[in-house]
Amino acid sequence: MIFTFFVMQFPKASQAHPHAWIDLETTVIFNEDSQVSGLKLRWTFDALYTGFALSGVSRDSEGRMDKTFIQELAKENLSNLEEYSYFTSMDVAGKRQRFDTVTEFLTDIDEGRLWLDFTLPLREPAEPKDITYSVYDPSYYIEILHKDPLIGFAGNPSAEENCSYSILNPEPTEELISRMADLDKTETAGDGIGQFFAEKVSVTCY
Amino acid sequence: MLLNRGRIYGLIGGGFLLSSTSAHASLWGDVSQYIRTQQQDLHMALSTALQAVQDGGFEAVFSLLLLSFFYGVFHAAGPGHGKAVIGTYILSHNSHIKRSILLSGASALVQGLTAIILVKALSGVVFISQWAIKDAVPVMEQASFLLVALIGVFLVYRAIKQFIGMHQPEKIDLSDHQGSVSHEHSHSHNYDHGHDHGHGHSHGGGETCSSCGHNHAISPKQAAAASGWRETIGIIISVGIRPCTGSVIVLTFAELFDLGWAGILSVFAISIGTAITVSLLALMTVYFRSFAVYLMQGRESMTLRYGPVAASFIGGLIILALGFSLMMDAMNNSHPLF
Repeated sequence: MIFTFFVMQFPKASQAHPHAWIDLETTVIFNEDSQVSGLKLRWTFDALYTGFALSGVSRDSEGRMDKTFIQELAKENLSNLEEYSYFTSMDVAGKRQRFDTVTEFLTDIDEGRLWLDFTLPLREPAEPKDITYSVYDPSYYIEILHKDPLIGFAGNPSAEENCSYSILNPEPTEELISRMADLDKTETAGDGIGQFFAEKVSVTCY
Repeated sequence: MLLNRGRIYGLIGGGFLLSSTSAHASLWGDVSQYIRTQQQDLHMALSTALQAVQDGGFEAVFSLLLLSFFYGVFHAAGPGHGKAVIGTYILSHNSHIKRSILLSGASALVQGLTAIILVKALSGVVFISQWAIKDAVPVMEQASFLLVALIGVFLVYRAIKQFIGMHQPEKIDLSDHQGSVSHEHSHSHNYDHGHDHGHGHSHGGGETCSSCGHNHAISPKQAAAASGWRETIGIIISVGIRPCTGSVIVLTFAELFDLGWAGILSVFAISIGTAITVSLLALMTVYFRSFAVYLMQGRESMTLRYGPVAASFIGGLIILALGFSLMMDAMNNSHPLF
């Protein structure tokens, strides 16, 4: 009984629940060989995070913001994210894939919300059969969910025709409870509580 | 007085905690899911409300405060806000209702204050960017965890001292008294922090020994009360210097729109909401504890004699472990986007 009381507290103290939200849009990118070569991700941050991230930005005499600031911010964020695999995990036929460093990105502010658009290249292109991926913050400090239940396809129209996808919504209650019960199992590499609140996208092409 | 109101609350509290483990796990899962979604909605509504205040109007400010209050209530239901430390402390060291509520309430308010001071101070200084605020929060969290660990050390140390004290008859001041009185004294030292004798344990002369009072510099009750306050303040400070991240975000956002004062009011409302939730949980813990103690009645005197000091020792150990593990955790984990 008392044990549970503490279990309830342990998910990383103040870190474990969302303090920011990202609206997600993903596009699966194909190459000429009809393989999946990467993902294009668009993250739209919530207004509060935008304010937080932009506090201290210098403004000119007319109150306009220095645009290079958000470029630098994006670079810094992406570089910090690399170690976390850009919060993205992708499996092909059950095998975890590796990504290369992100070099292409765009960023700006629309209607008070900061957004970041970047291309995540797979180290090795994959056959588009049995692909699943998730974009989530392992610490669950930020909640990342698809804005609309849509996945885009790009790069090779003929290949895209034969593809279908599904987005599985997280069901935290069951897993969280069983996780709490399994306290002595060590966490898997880098995955904390966030995985239980993550969407899973499955893509298959014929 | 056997099954008074307090015990019934304790029963309910215990039942609540118990139900969160057992087969009715889905109930708790649904509750926490609800809390999460509420907090999410409130978070998003907060940003809109803050912007609405820009356009002015008393209603806008009022809605902001109401919203902030509820945000605080739900926000505190999740992990953090010192609940583990406060809960452990209450469970393992007998604490009065009033002091427990003071403990939880004050901790929450100080957290809000810390957030305000942090953001105001850092944005007031020229050209300190948000990197400074971002970097300051982890440092303060580390300091908080360190303090928590130190309090744990202190509590363990005190429990050990108590244990040793239990086995040494009072020498100096009791030269005038019968042997039975010294026995009562070592017994009453077990019950620290102004122990409420309504629990039905039988003590000889109560906290202050009736036949020898004026020979003691400080009665055990006073000594207990004094050290109890020290710990209470210690915990309030160690939890309080951890600024509520939600509040920091609200404040920086408000600063951006030149709504500093609205941000501050909002944070106060959030802190009050947080204070209420944490106090409620603290209260449940107090009642739960008194119920557990009630259940312990009639057991062998060994448990009665060593139970409290053992509880203090274990509680201190847990708090120490908590602070330490949080420190280690924080050192290894910094968020890439914050």
